[in-house]
Formats: sequence, structure tokens, C-alpha cells
Amino acid sequence: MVWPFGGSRKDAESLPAPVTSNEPLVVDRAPTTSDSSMPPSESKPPSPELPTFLSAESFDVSKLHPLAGLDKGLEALDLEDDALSDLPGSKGFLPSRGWSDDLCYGSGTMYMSGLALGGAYGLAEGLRQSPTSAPAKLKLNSVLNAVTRRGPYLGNSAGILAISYNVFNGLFDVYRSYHDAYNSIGAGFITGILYRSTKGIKPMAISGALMGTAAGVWSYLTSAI
Amino acid sequence: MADHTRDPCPIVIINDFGGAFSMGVIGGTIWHGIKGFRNSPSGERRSGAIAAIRSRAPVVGGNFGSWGGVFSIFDCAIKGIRRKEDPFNPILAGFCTGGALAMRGGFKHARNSAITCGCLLAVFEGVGIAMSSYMSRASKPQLPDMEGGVPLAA
Repeated sequence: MVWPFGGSRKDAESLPAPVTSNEPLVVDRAPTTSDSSMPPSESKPPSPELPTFLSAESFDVSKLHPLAGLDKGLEALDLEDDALSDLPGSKGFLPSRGWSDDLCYGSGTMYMSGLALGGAYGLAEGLRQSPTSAPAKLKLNSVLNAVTRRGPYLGNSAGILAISYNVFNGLFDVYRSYHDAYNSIGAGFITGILYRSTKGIKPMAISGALMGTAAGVWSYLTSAI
Repeated sequence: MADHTRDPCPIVIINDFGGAFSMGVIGGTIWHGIKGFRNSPSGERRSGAIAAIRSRAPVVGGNFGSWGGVFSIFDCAIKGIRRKEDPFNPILAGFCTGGALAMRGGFKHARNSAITCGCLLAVFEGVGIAMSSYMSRASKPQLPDMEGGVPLAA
């Protein structure tokens, strides 16, 4: 699909007025239209308008409709509709074009919400820690310190959980060639195990079970709506 | 020129946050894994690598993510204000991002960081424009040669 782009509003205003109707449109003179009164034949000499329109010297783009913006040159765009993922079972209420969409949007959402939650907690903590009689500059510094300590920590933790979950989920989807709740639960379980993998068997099992349950609830919610 | 490979504006901020964070975490895992492995004494190389990854990779990811996300926020804001898409949007957004993220270091630090980021983004944009014009040279539409022939009759 070719779509002419490039004309901005300011340039369009400075161009001459659009072609009026009493002046014949350039398009109508083109012999490629299905006008039966002028069949393309070699014996007939070309009509006098044709060379004036088509020769490069007299081809003035500013005579064309200003909205087309043809004086900027044509820009050929290949507009393909973004297809949603056609993996069986992957159609939830959240549209997705595949695992990279899931990864980017999933980790982005988790990271930003973790950052916001941790930041809010840090804000409260910073306000609580500084004495009420402290000057505003000290208070601001205390709040900023608390926010930048709590916010990124929670955001980073939530973000790496989301990354690991989405990576394993995508791997399971590829391996099994379809998506269902078991993929999500398995990915959540492995994520939880990895997250606590340096703390010993029992914390690993607890964290894996928690993450698996959360993933199951999440996939139930997305498929139910 | 409108970029059609990216999602529309408010929602693309989440995508940029997540994409930059993921890139930073994965890159930081490789970087600090190798670094922790090399800096540990033999016999503790594996545990040293894991400890370095655990403590450092999320921080790298967070730095990348906050940079990308703040950049995307500024990019969308500038697009909304200028009602225009051209290479100056990312340059201005990079300038603002560099300044905003270095704000706690004082005015001088913020200014230097903003100028550095703006220049970096300008170089990126220039290289991108050069690459795309080089790539699209073959498919440029041309007027047919009309010199002295009967046009369109053949």
C-alpha cells in the first residue's frame, strides 16, 4: 500500500488553492482511465494535452492538490496490519502479538507498578522519619532518599519476576505449540523457585507455590473475562 | 515521518519501560556473570558469578528501564506539544531525559548530562536516517523517461 505523506499544515497553506472544477483535473486526462471515447491506439496521434502533462519540464507538483503534499516526494510505506498471535489458546482479554509483546508489556507493567508502590511506601517512610520541625529542604532530601531506596528495589524485583515468568511462558508455548493455564502455572512455579534459589529448599518451594498460584489465578482471570 | 512499527503514544511508554528493563537485565546478567566469574577465586567462580548477577543485574535493568521509560514519556509529551514527528523529537527527549535523571547531582551535572544525551540521540538519529535512505534507494519511485517517444501509447 502506497500512501503519500509529508505535507504539513503550514506548507499546505502556502501552496496555491486546490484545482477548481472548471479547470479539468489532471487525472481525467490520463489515458489509463477506462474512458471509451479515447481508446489507446497507435494510429491516432496523442492528444495535445498529454505531453504537456507528462513531460518532466511542465510537471509542476504545486498544481496538484496541496493536501497530498507531493512536493515532498513520495514515501512508500509497507503497512502491514499487526496480526495477533495465532497460537491456540492464547486469545485472552489482553491482545498480544506474541511473546515479545508479553515480555515488554508484562515487565513494563510490573516494573512501573512496583516502582510506584515502592515509591509511595518510601514517600510515607521519608515523611515519617524526618522530624516535623525539620526545614523543608531536609524533609525533601529525606523523602527523596527513602523513595529512591524503596522504589527501585521493589520495581526491580517485580520486573525480574515478570521477565522470568514471561520467558518461561513463551518457551512453554513454543515447546507445546499451544497455550493453556498449565504453561502459566509452570512458568510461575519455575520463576518462584529461581527467585529463592539461593535460600534453600523450603523457601524455594514456598515461593514457587506462591508464584504458581498467582499465575494460575491470573490465567483464570484473563480467560474468564 | 510517522513511525508505524511502534504502538501509539500513551501505551508505548509501558512497552519502552519493559523492553529497556528486559534488555538491561539480560545484558546485565551476561556482563556481571562474566565479571563475577573472572573476579572470583577458583573454586568459588560459579557462586561468585551467581552472587554478582543477583546483586547487580536488576540494578542495571532498573537503570536501563528508567532511562528508556523516562525517554519515552518525554518523547510522547514532545510529540503531543509539537503535533509533529521528526528527528528533533528524540533529540529533545534525550536532552530532557539526561537532565531529569541527573537532577539530583546539581544543575551543572544535569546540564552536562542533558547535553551528552542530546548529542548521543542526535548521532543515533543521523545514523538511522542515513541507514534508511541507503536502504530505500533501490525502491524509490521514478518518473518514466518521456524523451521523444509517444507516451503511454505503446
